Amino acid sequence: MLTYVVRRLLYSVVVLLAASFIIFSFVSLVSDPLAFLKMTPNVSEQTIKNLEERKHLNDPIPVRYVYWVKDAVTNQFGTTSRHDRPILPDLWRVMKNTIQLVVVAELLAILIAVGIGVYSALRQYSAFDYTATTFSFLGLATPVFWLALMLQVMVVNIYGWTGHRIFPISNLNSVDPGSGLSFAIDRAHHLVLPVIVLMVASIASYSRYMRASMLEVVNADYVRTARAKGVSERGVMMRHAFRNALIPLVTVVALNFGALLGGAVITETVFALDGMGLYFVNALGVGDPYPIMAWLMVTSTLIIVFNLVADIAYGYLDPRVRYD
Amino acid sequence: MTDQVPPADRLAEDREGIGLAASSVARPAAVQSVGQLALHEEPVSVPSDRRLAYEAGVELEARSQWTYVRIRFFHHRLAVASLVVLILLALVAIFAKQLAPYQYDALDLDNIAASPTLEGTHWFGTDFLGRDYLSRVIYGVRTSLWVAVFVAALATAIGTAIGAIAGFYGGHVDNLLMRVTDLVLTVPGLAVLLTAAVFLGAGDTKVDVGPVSVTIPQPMKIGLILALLFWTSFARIVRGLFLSLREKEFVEAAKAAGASDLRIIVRHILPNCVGPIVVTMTLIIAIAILTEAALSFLGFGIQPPQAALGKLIAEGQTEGFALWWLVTFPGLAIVIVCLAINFVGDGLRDALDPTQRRTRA
Repeated sequence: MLTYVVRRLLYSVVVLLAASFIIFSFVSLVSDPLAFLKMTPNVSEQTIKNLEERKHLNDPIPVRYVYWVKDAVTNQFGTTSRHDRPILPDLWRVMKNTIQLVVVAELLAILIAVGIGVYSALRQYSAFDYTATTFSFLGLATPVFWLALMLQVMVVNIYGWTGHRIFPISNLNSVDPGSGLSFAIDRAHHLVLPVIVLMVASIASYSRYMRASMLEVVNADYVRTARAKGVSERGVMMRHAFRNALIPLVTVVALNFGALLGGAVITETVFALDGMGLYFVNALGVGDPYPIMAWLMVTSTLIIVFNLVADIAYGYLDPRVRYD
Repeated sequence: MTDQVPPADRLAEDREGIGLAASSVARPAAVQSVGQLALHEEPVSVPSDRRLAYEAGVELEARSQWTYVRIRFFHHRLAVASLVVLILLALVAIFAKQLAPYQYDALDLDNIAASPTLEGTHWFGTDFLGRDYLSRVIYGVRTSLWVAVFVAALATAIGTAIGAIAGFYGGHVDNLLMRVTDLVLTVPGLAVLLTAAVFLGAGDTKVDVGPVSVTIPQPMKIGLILALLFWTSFARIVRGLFLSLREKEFVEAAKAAGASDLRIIVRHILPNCVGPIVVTMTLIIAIAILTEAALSFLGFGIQPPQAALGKLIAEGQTEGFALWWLVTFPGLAIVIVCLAINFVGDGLRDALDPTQRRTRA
């Protein structure tokens, strides 16, 4: 088991290096992070030359890549090209916000999806099952950004008709959020719509997985055995069927969670939430390789870790799986 | 019986050795029945149901596997209805120039920001420039479908070829493929897409290949980016199928008959993979439409004045939420297209599964 984990991690380092070089070349080849400064009239040639010198912007890309690796390891990913702003503190701040959003949305989604999936499986081909199936298909066919916009449209139009603002449609907090409990309430109020948007896609796919794995388990031999030895129907379902049916979902959730921590790019953009996704989109707009690379390394590491967690959890929950 | 057959790659090593001999001994029943058919005039192994039908004086129509597929598909009502919707939408997209009431960028300055109405000609309303949104949505569907079909075709071609080679030969090719797949799995997909879109730049691109200069239109560029990300799903599925199918007896038989590797791959194994490939294609088409819309919405995809559904929604967003129709209709178009494709895929999955003899009532 330990050798398996170590081998996977070592291998991931190689993959990360390869991926980082490709992305670094892409970004560096096309965009000039100082383009904006060069167009600003009162910035002197000398200032720009100095910046280029200090950031090694005129060196060949492989050399710049090596400088970046050095910066990343010894200097916490360095500073942005344009404003010389340290990258890591910004990254921690947006990550904290993204974690709040994603954890709340995913926990709620898991609870609801498990409920829907189990009930659909126990009442297969019932009206409830068909309704749930239809809605999950609908959820999977709906673009996330459109759903977010439609909620905003709804809120804005309700405001227009009634003068009541039900939910804020952008930002993480009001201008003056207060502190302590009032801050928390203000934050929660702002997160309602983004959480709903994130939940819809997750519920749609999780409930399908849950239904499928529950159906498989319900017809398994050990469930019949449990019935035959006289376990109550409730006991069979809860102790024997349900717990085993959860195992595949653990993998799916872990994988999705890792990806979402990189930022729900679209949700955060539409609702102007100061999270990982918006950070990335903004950095890409500026064309500065340093924040983009920092974001990419943190996100890829999270994905790798959660992939590993998914595999280990699977091996732990299902004793038949063995890693050599 | 089948468990006894040694793996194909070992067979290849000692073709005249014990492996082949052992395997031909291992299935005498099949060999014998073929032999009898060849030797005796009298048909010994006529299917019994056909003989029964003959004796009862009933004509029995032979059903091929494809007949079963068709029957099963047409019993899935939702899938058939979705297919009809898709065909209609495709026709509208193809004949957009003839069907759209206006040009997608034509200005109707007498009707600026008109709300949707069934009385006039602006069924889906107009924007602040007086552009007819029904026409723009029709052209948007045209762009979206074009990109999606392009992505699916390209990703299927690349993925199937690589997956087939990796699965059939194994070894280094297989290793390399799995490593590339890991790379794609490790890096967040949307990030790669966005970076690649920025890398390739906006607008059409002129590529000089020697003396010839080729212009790559922008939708095709977005399609290329998406295909480069999506081919891995095909490669993994096809590889898995090839890994298991290459051990089957019919492959062994083809080898024994002297078929080349290419022939075995294309004629013997690939037809058995059609089902999963087609189902994956429908999934990829839907995902491609959603992803292209997201890219265009974020401003990294198709650029104005070309109408793309994601771009239309983004324009609706900037023009204020009071004009709700600008956001609503392009989005509804995406939902309908993706829903229809997913239902067709669902129907195909059931229909193409050869283990499912039962036709849906």
